[in-house]
Amino acid sequence: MTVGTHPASAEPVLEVRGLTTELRLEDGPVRAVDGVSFSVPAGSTLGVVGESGCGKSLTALSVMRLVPEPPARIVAGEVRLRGVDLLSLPEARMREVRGRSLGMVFQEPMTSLNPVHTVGEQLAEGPRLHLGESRRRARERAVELLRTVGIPAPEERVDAYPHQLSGGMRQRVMIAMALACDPSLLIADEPTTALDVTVQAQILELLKRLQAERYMAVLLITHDLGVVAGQCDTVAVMYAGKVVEYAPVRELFAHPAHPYTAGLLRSIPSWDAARGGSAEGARPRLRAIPGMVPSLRQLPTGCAFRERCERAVDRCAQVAPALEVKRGAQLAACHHPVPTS
Amino acid sequence: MTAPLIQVRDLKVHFPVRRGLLGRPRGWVRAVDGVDFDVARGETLGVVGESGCGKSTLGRALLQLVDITHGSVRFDGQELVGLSPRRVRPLRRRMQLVFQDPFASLNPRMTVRDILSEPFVIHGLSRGAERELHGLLDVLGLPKDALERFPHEFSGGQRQRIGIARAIALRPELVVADEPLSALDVSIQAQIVNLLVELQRDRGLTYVFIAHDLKVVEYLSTRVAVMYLGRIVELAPARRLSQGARHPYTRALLSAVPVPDPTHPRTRQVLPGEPPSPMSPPGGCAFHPRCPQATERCRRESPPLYPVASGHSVACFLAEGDALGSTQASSLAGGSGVLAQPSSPG
Repeated sequence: MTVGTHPASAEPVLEVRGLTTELRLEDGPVRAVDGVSFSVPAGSTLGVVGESGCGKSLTALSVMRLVPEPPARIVAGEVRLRGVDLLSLPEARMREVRGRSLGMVFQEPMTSLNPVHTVGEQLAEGPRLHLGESRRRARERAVELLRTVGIPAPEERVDAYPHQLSGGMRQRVMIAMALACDPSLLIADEPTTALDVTVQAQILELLKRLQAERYMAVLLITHDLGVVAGQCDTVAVMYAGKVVEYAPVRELFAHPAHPYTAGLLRSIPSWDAARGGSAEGARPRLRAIPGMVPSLRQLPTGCAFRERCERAVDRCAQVAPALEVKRGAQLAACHHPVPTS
Repeated sequence: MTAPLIQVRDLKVHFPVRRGLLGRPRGWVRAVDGVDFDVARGETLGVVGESGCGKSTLGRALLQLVDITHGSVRFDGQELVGLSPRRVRPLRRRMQLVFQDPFASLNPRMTVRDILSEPFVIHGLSRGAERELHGLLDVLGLPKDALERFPHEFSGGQRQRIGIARAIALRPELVVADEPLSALDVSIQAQIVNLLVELQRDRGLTYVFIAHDLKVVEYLSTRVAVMYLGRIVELAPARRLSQGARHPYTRALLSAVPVPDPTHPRTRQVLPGEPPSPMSPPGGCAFHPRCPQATERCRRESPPLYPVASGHSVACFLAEGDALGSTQASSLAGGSGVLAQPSSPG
């Protein structure tokens, strides 16, 4: 693969090379994650963005070796966390890595928290198991963690059950749990998608502050380009299991190279587009991407995006484009990239 | 100006909270708690707010799909509140609902033909329905063979097209769309937004568009109503919203929306806390516990909607000084209804 360590970055905490995960369906296997490569340095956030079914969540699960097996199976690639190849670790060692070095935050805090244990018990589990802390020390740490993530009256909330907390508070507890053993990598899969916009703003601010304080590497999975713009340093755009564009966030938004990225950005109704229209309803049409994401079982030959692409050329039907440098630090998998305007 | 298609005055919808099926109510959820507005023919009124603000209940109340506790809803001049179901039915043809979840709102055992024919059958209009059906497929960009297929054979975007087709089949005047885009991917959302705009243009539809996504609401709407805990806190022309919002809650909402531009200055105003329960809303202005500009008065009194410009009113004491004349104010805000303390419904 042509993805090198990003020029601006120090040594990566996480390095993923050619990661390939198959889904074994009744009518044969499909590659839901197909040769994905990226790296995340300490103190940096990589956003993985794409629409449903693009493979972004399965990529995160593959990094953690938590893919539901069967039907999913990691069939190729390397996942290095601080140089250690996670894919070759025995499961017992992997469990330790998950507990100590990886923090995970998922979309729905209610289903990720155990309803029959108090917040404090769940927060103490990691440190007791992985750091060998005493019950009392772990409880003190739980209170500290709740305070760190901005939960008011942490000495009382430590004894609350998840259902006694609001959605925003539960997500804060999830983040506290993820941080309990001081991980070097935080993986957050749509951490704010289930939250209201004012609460989302709180959680995003919290994640930023914690990352800066702890100099963590963050892998942020999201469908929201607004969240990407505000949180990420580097972005990987996925389509049909592949990374189609990989670029520093400013470059990506200023001049997307892949027509799919450009199409996604144009699909967002902008304040400007709304103001440009008249009150009578003569708004400028949104420039939607035509068609829909193809089924992984029936991908077109060559580039998976070509049937929806306004820039497709003959070559796109024949050869699948490789992810390669288009300009500066910007990589795209495209035979006919969007020129800078 | 012609008479509004919808007129809502001091509308309240309170739901009882019971212990057990037949127990006495332990309390009331004031889902909608004193709301006034008009919707003109051919306009789109956007309704935004966070979960639990009452926006979905408001949409259902307009179509008489929930029991109204208090107040008035007029459709084309006719009072709907208190009308018997038999008298409501002929009016139903003229007002329709599009649901959020295109996976849950279509019967999986019915073909698209059955789903789309049902409105015609219910209203005794089966004759000529077949031709209408083909026209609908065409307008909505669905494939010709769609009629004989089942909902599960379609993608989310196509299913939402089927839901919209069902809603507009009988050529209604009003369509209430409740979060019609939130289950869809970004690129598909844009297709549906364009479709909604086209349908409105070609069929003269009036929309009440309920969503939590401010960007889409601002894009689609003529005017936007911002709700917080069962009340409208600001009602403004969509084009004024992003620059001219006056209510501290509207401003906080606007500033909380993640902007898809990494060079955008990070001046996000983060609102503390979360919306309180509509079962026990705070006294005074319901927003005061989270409001950065709350004063002593906000804890005691609930502000009425002050009209501050044409088509723009704000329920905040900060806007009191800029309010238009008091006679105008009382007529626009619907009298004392907004101020009244909710009485226990009975």
